[in-house]
Parts: sequence; structure tokens; C-alpha cells
Amino acid sequence: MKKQFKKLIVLAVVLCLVVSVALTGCSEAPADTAETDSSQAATPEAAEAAAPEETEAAAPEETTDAATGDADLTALLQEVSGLKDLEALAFFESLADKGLSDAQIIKFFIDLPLSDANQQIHDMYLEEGLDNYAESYPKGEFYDGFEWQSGMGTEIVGEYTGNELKLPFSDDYVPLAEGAVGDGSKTYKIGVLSAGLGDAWIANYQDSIGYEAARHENVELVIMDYDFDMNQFATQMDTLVAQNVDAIITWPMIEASSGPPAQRAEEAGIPVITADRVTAYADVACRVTGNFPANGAQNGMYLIHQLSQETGGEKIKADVVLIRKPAGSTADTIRTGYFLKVCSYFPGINILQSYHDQDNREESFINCQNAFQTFDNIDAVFSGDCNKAAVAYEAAEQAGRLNSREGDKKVIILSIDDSKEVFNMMMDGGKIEMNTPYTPLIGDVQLRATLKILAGEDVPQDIATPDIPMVTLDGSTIFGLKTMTPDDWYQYTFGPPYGS
Amino acid sequence: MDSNKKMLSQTLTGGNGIVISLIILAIFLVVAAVAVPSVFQPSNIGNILRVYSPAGIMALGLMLVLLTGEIDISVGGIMSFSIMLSTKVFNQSEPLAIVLLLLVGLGCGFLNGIIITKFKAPSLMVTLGTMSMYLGLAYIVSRAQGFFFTDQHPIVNTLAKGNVGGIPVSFIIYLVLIAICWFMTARTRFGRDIYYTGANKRAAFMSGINIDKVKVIVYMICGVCAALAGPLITAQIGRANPDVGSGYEVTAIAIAVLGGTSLDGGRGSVPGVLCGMVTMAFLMNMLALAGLGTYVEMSIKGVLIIAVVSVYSFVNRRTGVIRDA
Repeated sequence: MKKQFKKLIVLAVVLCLVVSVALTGCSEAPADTAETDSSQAATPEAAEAAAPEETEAAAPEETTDAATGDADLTALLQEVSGLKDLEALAFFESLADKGLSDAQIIKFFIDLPLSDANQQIHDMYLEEGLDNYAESYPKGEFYDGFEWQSGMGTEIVGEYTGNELKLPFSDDYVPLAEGAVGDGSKTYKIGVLSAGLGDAWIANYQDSIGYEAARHENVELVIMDYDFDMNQFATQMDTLVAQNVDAIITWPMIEASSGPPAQRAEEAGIPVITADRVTAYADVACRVTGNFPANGAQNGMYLIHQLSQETGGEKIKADVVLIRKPAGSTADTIRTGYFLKVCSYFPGINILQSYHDQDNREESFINCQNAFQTFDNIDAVFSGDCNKAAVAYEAAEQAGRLNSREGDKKVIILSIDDSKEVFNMMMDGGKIEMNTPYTPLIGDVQLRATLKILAGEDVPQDIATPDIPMVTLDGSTIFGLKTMTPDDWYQYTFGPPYGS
Repeated sequence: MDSNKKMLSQTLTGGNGIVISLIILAIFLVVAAVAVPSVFQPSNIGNILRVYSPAGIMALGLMLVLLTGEIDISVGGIMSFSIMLSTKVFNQSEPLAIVLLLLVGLGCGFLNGIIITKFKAPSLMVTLGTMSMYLGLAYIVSRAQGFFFTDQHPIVNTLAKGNVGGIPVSFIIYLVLIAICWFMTARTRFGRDIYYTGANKRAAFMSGINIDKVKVIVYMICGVCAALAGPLITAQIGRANPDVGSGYEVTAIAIAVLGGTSLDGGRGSVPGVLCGMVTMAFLMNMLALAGLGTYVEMSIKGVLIIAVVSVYSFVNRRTGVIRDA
């Protein structure tokens, strides 16, 4: 018995040592680095795409953009690339006097080259391979030079959720007349590979697809739900191929693992049309891209502007926590990357820690609680989506840290996406200060593009979703960009009614 | 019959699960004190007790099932279904919604128990099936739409987020349930029957214990515990989603096992589950506050859980509680 007790003690000590070594050895680690999606870099397309990025980081592209104009922008980007801190701030503020449109201002911040003024952010950006992700994300044009204006869109009741929604881009963007499409005597079977209909964002995305399908009597949807499981994604994609559907539309959660199934479908002669996120297989028939870059860039704009306002433009300094989406997902890498790029001009921005979760609200909440417990100096929380912003507020409040900044100022909570919840929080005494909209209601655009392809029309491979200006509490103008108020955008928000 | 019970008692009292649980908890606390002292800030302790109490409640019900030698992996599904169904009446009456929620949990547990006992089907497979069924029902009743907990729901908000004298209300609820379950298992005949059923089914049957009835009742208790955990979790984050329970079965099983409950049945204790919950909470929190990064933390958590379970296995073999098959 004595011998056994000794063994137990030895085992306990070994366990103790292992834990201690693990904790003390790693506790000084910097903000965690997400694993780069190796498949992207490994593909020839990605390799080609990555090459010019090194140049772009040093100096902006010399090409001009037909949609927005602008040799002018290129010159401005060239000019700002050598500036830092208050000089960069002054330059940003001067944009208001340069006669740029809102779209051009957003584009300026999207195209902003990475600066090495903030070495921590510069290194983090490159170590996480965010340059590769940014470069490989499609830079589509707006279809037929479309310009979105507030008020546009179509009100519907979602056939799947029963939610009252307003589709911002129906029926004006990538327009398609109601009625039979293509060969009127044929029924077009469209495979819909949905991600997880239990998610409010995805469910409303599905509603927007359903709306468009209902406008065409010879269109039939074959809906499958892979429930955020990429193994199921592959299986269901193959099933749709076996069913010989006419086209497959999907929201691919993870780029790398969605690539081979998409390639198999295309090689079987079935066009694949993605929305929002992209697959690692770049030669799909069409990609309707979201405005991830505009999300991240505008969050950066707001943070810098807000910090400047607080100090009368004398100082840009903040300790920031990043509450992020799953590493390797487009939404995480692009949003975070473009946010960091704007912040990289300011040495006073300090990233305290990155926290990832599996797009799970409870995990996000615990991450936020841990952040407030670990750091007593959090000035701002960058939230990868609106769920994270909502729980960041909850966690700050429960920790008694809402107004814990110097001078009892409120912790700045930056939000992305546009659920009704987050807009209600904005309108409820400014619990959240800002939000950059990211609408799920783009499935109708995706289906219209699909039907045009099946009808033999020429459709560009990349169709960009119009960039939407950020929403602030008072609709103020930030670096020349006129932002929207919560009332302006509320009609387009997704999800069930708040408080119901 | 008496000799059977005597033999069972000797087997049961041979273990020292609670002592091991306390030793492991003490080790983690010492490591935390050295490596991550911020763990012991009062606000942090309040946070982790609040966050992990619902999982602890779930583990408490699950432990009773494990004691009978069965398992219930549908607890996450029960949590999702009960909370989503009850949200239909939360805006009309909170007390009614909470009663409905508990009744749904009770009913789900009853169904699990009846299928397992009447069809003599393996509990792992039955509850795997009902897990999927309950999750599906959660999606159906909610039309896959989340429900927001706002200021209009003061009762559930208080239960989930409130404090009494600095102690989270959800932890107080947990302690009350711990006390009730401890009394039931340690001081009542039904409690002894649970242990006997799990330790040696045949001997228990020969001793005149209605093992089917025991099992059905523990499944019902487990269902109620799973249902109760739902609002305590969802109100904290302000929103109930139909998939909210997914994954909680693993956490609940991990807590029960960390607390010394044997997956073979007949061995475990209520105070052990409390230790298991506190151990799990401190372990997770300590790793998070150490700033290792999400994915490193995930890996180390796995290693530590394996290490702890190995300690139990080692000790149990040495003390003869578990014999090689």
C-alpha cells in the first residue's frame, strides 16, 4: 500500500510539473497566431496571387479601377503609405476635402497598404498570412456599374423562417424578370447546399434564395444542409452531382475543404455558384462575394476616428482585444486583416490578445469574460460578428468593466453583421457604438446569377456585393464617409424580431 | 439476499473517489496559484462558478444515470428542446415557461428510461437516437429561430446572472441540488438502490430492487437537470438558439468522470461531481487566463483530462475497485 501511495505521489508530481511547464512556458506567448490555410498557398492560383502582394504592401497598385475611377486613389494610397500616427490621421481627415464619394472613401481604406509603423500589427498580419487571404479573395466588380442607395430593395416574409425581411438588392441588382427562365419547357433543378439552417444568418440567406426561386415557375430547389460540417459538405455535394442537378449554389464555410468537392462538381459539368465565402477551387462558374474587406476596414476607421475624437486629435492609443471567428475562415481572415491594416499606421494601438471560437456564442462569451479577467486595460473589443459584439457587452457589464477606461469612458465595442439584436443594442443607449452591415440577404442575387448562366447569358465570374457604409449612433461623417444611422439600416436587418 | 447486499457494500466502500477528486482539485489550484494567480480574483471566481454551474447541474443528473451503469448522451438535446419549446410562452408568463421547461425535461427523461428498460436496448444507442430527435424537435418548434432574453424576463435573468452576497444565483441553485441529491443518494433507500443497480444488476435484482423503476426515475431526474441548465446558460448570453445544447453532453460527462464517477456504474458521489465541476471550471479558466491561445488551450485541455482520468484508473486498479476483465 505504501508503495502504491508513493507511485500516486510521483504521478501527481509529474502531472503538476507538466501543467506548470506548459503554463509558465507559454504564458508569455504573443497574441495567438492562426494557422494559415496551407491549401490556398499551395495552389498555383494562390501562389501567383500571393506574389504581387509583397509589392503591394510596400506601395499600392499602379492600376486604375474602372468602377470607382481612380487614378486619384492610387496617388492618394501612394502618398499615405509613408505616413504614420498623427500624420496618417491628418491625411485620413483630409479625405473629406478631396471630393471623394463614399464608395471611393471605403475603397481607399480597403486598398490601404499595410504599414510597418506599428511593428506588432505588421508582424501579426504577415505571420498569420493575412496578406495571402486578402490577395486571394476575389475583387469583383459591381454588376453593370450598379450603385446601391438606401431605400432600395424588396420586402418579403421569409418562406423558411417567417421573418419579415427586406432584401436590399432585390430586384435591382443582377436583375432578372419574373416568370420562366431559359428553356420554359424545362424545369431547372438547383441544388442548394446550405450551411446550417439553425443559424439565423444562414436561415435568412435561405429565405432570400427561396424568394427568388418562387419568382420562376420552372425552377425547383433541392435543398441540403451540411450543418457546418465540411465532411457532410463533401458528401452532399457529391449527392447533388449524382442527382444530376442543373447547378449547385452554396455558402462554403471553409475554403480549403470545400475546394475538392466543388472541383468534382464542375468537372462533372455542373456549374457551382458560391456566395459570400469562396472555395479553394477558384474556377467555379461564379462567385458572389460579400463585403468582408469593407467590414474590417470600416471598423478600423471607426476606432481611429473615435480615439482621435476623445483626445482632440492629439493621440491615437488603445489596447484592443480581438474576439474572432474560426481561424482560417474567410470571415475571420479578411475582416481581421483589413481592420489590422488600418490600425497598422498607428504605433499606439496594442493588440492584447486574439481569441478564436467555433462560431459558438457561449464560447465567445467565455472568451470575452476571460479577456476582461486577464487584462485590466481594455479600450476596445473588435468583434468578428454581431454575436460576439453582443456577448462582449454582456461580459463587460457582468465584469463591471463597461466604463473601465481611463476617465471612466466606455469600452468601445466594434461590431460586424446586422442582426436586429445588435441594432437594438445600439439604439438602447449606445450599448454598442457602431456596426458595419453584412447582409445575409444575398441568396437572391446568387440565384439570379445562376439562372442567367443556365439561360446562356454571359455573367462575370466575380460579382461583388455593394459595400455598405457603416452604421453609427448619430450617422456622423468619418474621414469624409457619411455613415448611416441605426434607423437607416434597420429595415434590412436579419433575424427574428428582437425581444419576441 | 442480505449477503448479496453486504458484498455490494464492501465493493462500494472500497473506493475513495472523493479523496482523489479533492487531490486533483488541490493540484490544479496549486498550479493555478503559481502560474496564473489572477484565477483567484473574486470576480473571476464568481464568473467561472456562474458559467459552469449549468453544466454542473447537467452533470449531476447524468451522474445518477452513470451510477446505474447506463449513460445519457441526449442531455444536450433535452436542453435544446425544452428551452426552445418554453420560449413559446416566456413572453406571456415566465413561471409558466419554467414549469413547462421542467415538464419537458421530465418527459424526455421518462421516454429515454422507458425505451431503455422496456426494450432492453443499449442506453448509448437509445440516447444517441433521442439526442438527434430532441435536437430536431428544437429546430422544428423554433423554426430554427433564436429567442432573445431581454429585460422583459427578470426571473430567468436573475437566476442566470444574479448574485446573492457576491455568490452567483446559478451556483446557489447548484448547491441546493447537490444537497438534495446527496441526501437522496446517501440517506435514502432509493439512493442505495441506485448504487446497487449499477454495481451489480443481477445481485440488485435478486435483492428485490425494481431496477427498471430505478432507471426510469434517474433518467427523469437527469432530464429535469438538463432542462434546468438551459435557461441558466442561455440567459447569460442573452439568446437561446436551437443548437445551444450541442456539445454539452461531453462537458457533462467530463465533469462527472473528473468527479470520480465510473462509466461502469455503481461508483461515484455527489460531492465528487461538485469537485469535478470546480476542477473543470478552474482548469478551463486557468488555461484561458494563461494566454496560451485558443487552439493550444484546446490541446492542453485534452491532455489534462486524459491525465486525470488515467490517475483515477490507476488508483482504482491498485485499490481493487476495478478489476481487469
